[in-house]
Amino acid sequence: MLKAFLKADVIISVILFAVSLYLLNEIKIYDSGSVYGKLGPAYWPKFVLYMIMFLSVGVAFFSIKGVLQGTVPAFERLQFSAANLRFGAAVALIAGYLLLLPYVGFLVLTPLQMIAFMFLLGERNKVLIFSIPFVLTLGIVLLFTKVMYVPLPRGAGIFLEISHLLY
Amino acid sequence: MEIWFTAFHNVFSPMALLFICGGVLMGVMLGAIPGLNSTMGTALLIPFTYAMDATTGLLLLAAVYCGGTFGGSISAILFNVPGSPEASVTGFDGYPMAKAGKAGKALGIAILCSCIGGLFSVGIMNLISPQLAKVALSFSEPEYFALAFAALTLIASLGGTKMTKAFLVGFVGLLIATIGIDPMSGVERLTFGWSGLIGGVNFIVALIGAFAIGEILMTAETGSKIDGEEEVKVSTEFPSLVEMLKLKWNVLRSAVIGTLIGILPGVGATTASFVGYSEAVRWSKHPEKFGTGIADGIAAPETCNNAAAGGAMVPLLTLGIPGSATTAVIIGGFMVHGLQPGPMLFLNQPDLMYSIFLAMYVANVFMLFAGVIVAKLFSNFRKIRYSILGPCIFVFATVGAFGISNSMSDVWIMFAFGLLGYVMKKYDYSVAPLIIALVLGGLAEESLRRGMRMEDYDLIAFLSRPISGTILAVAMATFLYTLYSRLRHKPNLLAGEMKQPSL
Repeated sequence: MLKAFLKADVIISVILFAVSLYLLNEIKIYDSGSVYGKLGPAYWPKFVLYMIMFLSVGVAFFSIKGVLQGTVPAFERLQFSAANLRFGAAVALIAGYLLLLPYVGFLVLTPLQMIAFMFLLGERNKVLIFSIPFVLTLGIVLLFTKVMYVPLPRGAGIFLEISHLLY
Repeated sequence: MEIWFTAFHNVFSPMALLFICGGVLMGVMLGAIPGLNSTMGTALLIPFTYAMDATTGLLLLAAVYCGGTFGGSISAILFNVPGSPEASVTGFDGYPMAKAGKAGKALGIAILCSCIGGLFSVGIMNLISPQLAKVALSFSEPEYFALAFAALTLIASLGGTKMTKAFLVGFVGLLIATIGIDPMSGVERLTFGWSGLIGGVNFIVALIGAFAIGEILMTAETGSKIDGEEEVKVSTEFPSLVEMLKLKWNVLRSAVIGTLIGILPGVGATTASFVGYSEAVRWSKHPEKFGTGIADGIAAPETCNNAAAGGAMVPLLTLGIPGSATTAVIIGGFMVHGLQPGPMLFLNQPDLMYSIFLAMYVANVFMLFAGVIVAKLFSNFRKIRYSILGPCIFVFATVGAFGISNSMSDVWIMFAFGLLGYVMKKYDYSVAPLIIALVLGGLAEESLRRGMRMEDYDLIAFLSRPISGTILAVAMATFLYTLYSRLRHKPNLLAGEMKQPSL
């Protein structure tokens, strides 16, 4: 029985149900905007949240029923593996890149991030690892800043000065 | 007839042809690179048209517009990263087809159907522009709501055998679409005080995150087992006559839908491609195959979005009202030459109008060649190992998301959708309903609320209006039929546990 409740679909449904309940409480404040008409700003989100709660119950119900009837596999115990580590590293790499981008700037940070990412994804050819990131970054910087006038993040301090050398 | 001769002379001069072909090629290139699009391209080209005569300048802008609408599908098919919003749906079937080793075939279908869709809409524009513009102007909020509703019922068919899960995801998409300032009351909804959310969640940012970043995270977990397809020859392969004949009704229906939706001011090619796809699913004998990489799933959105591009020129040329973002920019192209698009232009400058019609025919035909050239260039990237391609896609995705409003908030939103996409992929939830709901959510809510106010809060009025009533009735009937046929044949399907690929 516990295995049925531990199924991913059930966990996702419970999370969605709880979040919807919380948001239903949050959007109450928008009801004040209903002076603009009978269908105020809270009307549509409220309808959508009720539907999410209803469908969450539906998904959880069908999932538990499936496990109990043996038509779908039950929850498999999570095991820590290299795959989890690689996924965690990829998330950390992306989050770190986005956090540092405003401070280090696109020009300097992107090649470093790409080198790390290529290595993480299993690339071992050193020539490619140390050439493609620099060429691609340079190409993107020139295309987006010089031709399309997209102000890519420059960074701060010395990185700002470095970026001024190119764009 | 004399006007046509003048137009022929204008368009088939070597210089004009050069600009038209160059414009199409440039448009396809711009469309294919995520973060760049034909709207940006036409905007950047307007200053250059100062130096040209009005006819050549406008032909160039029209050519970029035609090419750009198609270009986005190249990257959507090859990498599941649509270069432009119009191509979002093309990836639903294009990418699975490319993954199955038929990238060339998918590109061939996309190019040919884009060309047909474009030519069809230009033909219609040419023949009945003023009449169509009048019909389009009779569309009001209930009709817009009916259109959005009809497209949203597509979710019933999109989740494969997992209908409940598909609808759950669809409603989550509708909820996300409500984030930001409510356009009717000005109230900030679900932003939690973060300024990055005030403008709402841009669906192209969400799309890049859910598809591209989600795929990268998935590959990081499973390991980079995707080697470059060195053995696979990726060259554009046009469908045979027999294959095209199988697609004929789908293409014709999509061309009509695309043209009609294109004519509606402010709706545009993106919505057209979603509606076209939903109708293709609705009318198909095998709706369950959509999303697995079938020709119909590429033909419908590609025909539709290019037909919509031509359709969007109708209100622009006949009434001076832009039908899309790019045509709004093209108005600027008219204005720099002291021209005001609208009915008077047909009377005062008929040769210019007919030159634009003719140039769009030429541009759509040349797109066959430009598409092949650019597709060949981009398809070479599929030969690259994922350990190299993945980081490159990540950088393009980041720049693409950032470039939409030059804001880091969009990049963070992209990352959040990347994580969401990863979870959905891992636990077998379809991503397509999320994106469709995100695109159509705003239109559905606004048109419902405005329409209700217009009709004095009487929902029945939506059904009693001839156009909206018909669209709503057909949508409801087909939705109920889909539900009934699934329950009848396989009662367990609602449970959403059968193993079948979902979009």
